[in-house]
Formats: sequence, structure tokens, C-alpha cells
Amino acid sequence: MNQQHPSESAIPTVARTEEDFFSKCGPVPASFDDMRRFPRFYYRTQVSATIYPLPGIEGAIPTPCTLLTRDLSRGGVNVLHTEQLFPAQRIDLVLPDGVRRSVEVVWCRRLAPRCWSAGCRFIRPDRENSEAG
Amino acid sequence: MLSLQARGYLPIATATLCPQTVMACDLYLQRRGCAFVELYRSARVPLTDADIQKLRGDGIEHLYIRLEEAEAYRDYLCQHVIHDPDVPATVRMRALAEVTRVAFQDALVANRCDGMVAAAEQFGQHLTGILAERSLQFSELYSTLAHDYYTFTHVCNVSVYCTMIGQLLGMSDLEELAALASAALLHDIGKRHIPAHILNKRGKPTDAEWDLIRQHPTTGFRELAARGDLQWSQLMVVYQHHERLDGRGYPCGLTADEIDPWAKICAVADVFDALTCQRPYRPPVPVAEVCDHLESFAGQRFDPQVVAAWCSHVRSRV
Repeated sequence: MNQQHPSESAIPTVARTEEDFFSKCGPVPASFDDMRRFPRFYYRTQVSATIYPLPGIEGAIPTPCTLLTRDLSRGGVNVLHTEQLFPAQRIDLVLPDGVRRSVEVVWCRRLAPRCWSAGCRFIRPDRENSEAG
Repeated sequence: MLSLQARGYLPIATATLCPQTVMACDLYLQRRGCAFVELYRSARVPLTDADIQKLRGDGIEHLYIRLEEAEAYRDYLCQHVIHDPDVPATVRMRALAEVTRVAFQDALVANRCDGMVAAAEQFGQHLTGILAERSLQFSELYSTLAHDYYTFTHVCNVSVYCTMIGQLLGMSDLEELAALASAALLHDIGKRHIPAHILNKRGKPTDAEWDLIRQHPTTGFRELAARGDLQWSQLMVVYQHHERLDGRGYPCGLTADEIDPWAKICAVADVFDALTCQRPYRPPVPVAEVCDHLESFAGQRFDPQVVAAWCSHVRSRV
């Protein structure tokens, strides 16, 4: 898959300081007590995204932005963003090869100033809109 | 053997009963050493002052009602105790806690989040009404509250403390205080998804158990955020009350400026109540020592302004 390197300002701090951030590939090492359902693989790229407000919050509108992905599994994807994300928020992702996926934020943790890591799970594979099919 | 609660009986505190009033539900009594309850007083037969004195004199702190009559009991307390300005504030406070406990218990049995939110809203309004009268001192209030760390007791106490801290910090709008009180009552709502044996464990939780416990702010937030009828700061009380100023809290690891002010209030109230309560594995920590503890972590875990306001108030009134 083609990996695009984003402009400096859109990169969360951790990705800027980790020299090999975009070059990592292959399976993510798992610990002996890892309870995950599916193995994860490094997937370092920039994706276009639309972040939706929480279902119960009135007046907020979907925000288009750019996110970085860290790793991927059959169940979900881990993304980095410069703003805090909240559990149950929906995000529509457009991967570099045009594949579209909708995810829901499960957790979000602060890694550094203006750098948030969010674990998201896939909620609706949207194959008909996908260029890759 | 099934507990009385599992057999459909709800304990009610004798401290909340008023003489010469009629309850629209039968009252049951459990004698010492007996696993069953017996009918103590039929519905509509008023309790006399002597009845209540005898119950208290005999050390009977709880009577029982049928679970399906919880609504009638709530109505009784609202009508005869909470809204009666002639009843001392401490008794009204106790009755308010009782009404809310019954409503929470009811909602918990039916697993109805709606019922809990509605009960929390009502609690917030009544509590701010009682506290606004300024007739209750901290020491009185402290002796009114139970300190046994059952989940409801804990959230009830935290709610009372949060409201008082809010007042100390200059919040004067009653609606705002009521919103803070109800949010604090809901702050541990996510804990109801944690198995009781983990919550009540005496020893140190295992790593897996800790992982589960640390999910409760997120679980509670997800549940409440989807409703759309709570304010953002109320949601943040639920989501951020375990965050620390130094970024070592959970679930997000937020730092000082990123934590909502209401969550900072709840964090102090939460720890204050957790330490001043009797736990199965330790006696309650004296209030002065708890204040020392809070002050020693001010600026690191807790907001220094909140700690200073609360501790100076508490120390001057104990």
C-alpha cells in the first residue's frame, strides 16, 4: 500500500519524534498475556477522516481532518490525532488506496501534548464505496 | 439461601420514619438470628412515637418493605419528610439519601440507566435545596451520612461533598449545583458492570481485575453520553474523576488544564469519602489525616484550589 507522508503540522508529536515511525512494518509484538482477539500489524500512514460528534451532543458538526494510523487488525485500527477523541465517537476513514471504513472510538489516551492515541473498532465495512472493492 | 433482597424485600432505614404518619405499604421486621421477616405493621396503620422509639431502642436500624412497594415508600418520604421545612435538616438529608437509594436499587435491579439518571436529577435538586438553607454544618452532615462504603453510600456521600465544595468555590447557581450533585451521584455508574466479587475483594486486585476496574469511567461515559440530556461537565465528572494533574491517572492520562473543573472537584470528594469510610480490611481514616493526605498530593494528583477550599472548611468544623 502507498504510504503518504503528511505535512509537519498535521503530525502528532510522537510520530515526529519517532524517527522510524513510517518505516515500521510487520506484526506488532504481543505479550504473553495479550487478550486481543486478532493479531495486529504495523500500518503507518496518513488517512483522511471525518470525525463525528458524540451521538448525544447537540449542535456539533462532523469535522474533516487528517489522522495517522499506527496499527491495524481484523477488529480495528489504532490512530493518532492532535485532538482528544471520546469513546463512542464515529470516524469515517479514507485509506490511501481509497478504501473507506467506519470505526468507533473505544478508548483514547494522551501520549504527549497534542498527541492522542485512540483504539477504534470497525463498525461497518463499506465495500460498495471502496475503489479497491 | 437467598438474601431478603433476592426474595423481594427492600430494607428501609428506621431513622427515616415519622410518627403519626401513614405509609401505604406493609412494614416487615427481621428478628435477630432469623432468616425470614415477619409482618410488623400493616399498611395504613400509623406508627406512633413510642413504636419508633422502641425500634430505635432495640437497635433495629432497618425494617423491610416489598420491592414492588418502593414507589409508595418514596412518596411517603417526599411527602412527609423531605419537603417538610419543620423536619430537621439532618433527618431530611437522611430521608433524601434513603429515597435515592431505593430509586437506585430499583433501577439497578431492572438494569435501567434511565431510572438512575432520573433519581440523580431529583437528588441533585433536593440536596441543593437542603444545603442552600445553610442550616447544616459539616460535622452534622458528616454524622448524618453513612460511612460503610457500599456503592450507593459512597456515591451519595461524594455527591454531598461535591456540592459543598462547589459552594465553597463560589458556585451559587442552584441549577448548576444540582447538576454537579447529580453528576457526582452518577460518577461510578460504570461500576455496575464490574462483578461484585471484584469490587468487594479484600486483597489487591490482579492485573486483569485492575484492567476491568479501570474501565468503569469509560463504560459510564459511553452509557450516559448517548442519552443527550446531560451537560458536558456532568459527563466529564463520570469520565475524568480518576484523572490526575500529573497525567498519571486514567482512562486518558490527562494533565491539569485538560481536566474538567467538576471532575477535579469529584476527584477530591471521591478520595475523601473512600478514606473516611469503613472498609472490610481497615477502619476509617480520621478526617484530619485524610486532609493531610489530600494536601500532600495537592498539585500532583489533586487540584490545589479544591483541596485548599475543602480541607480548610473541614478542619475548621470537625
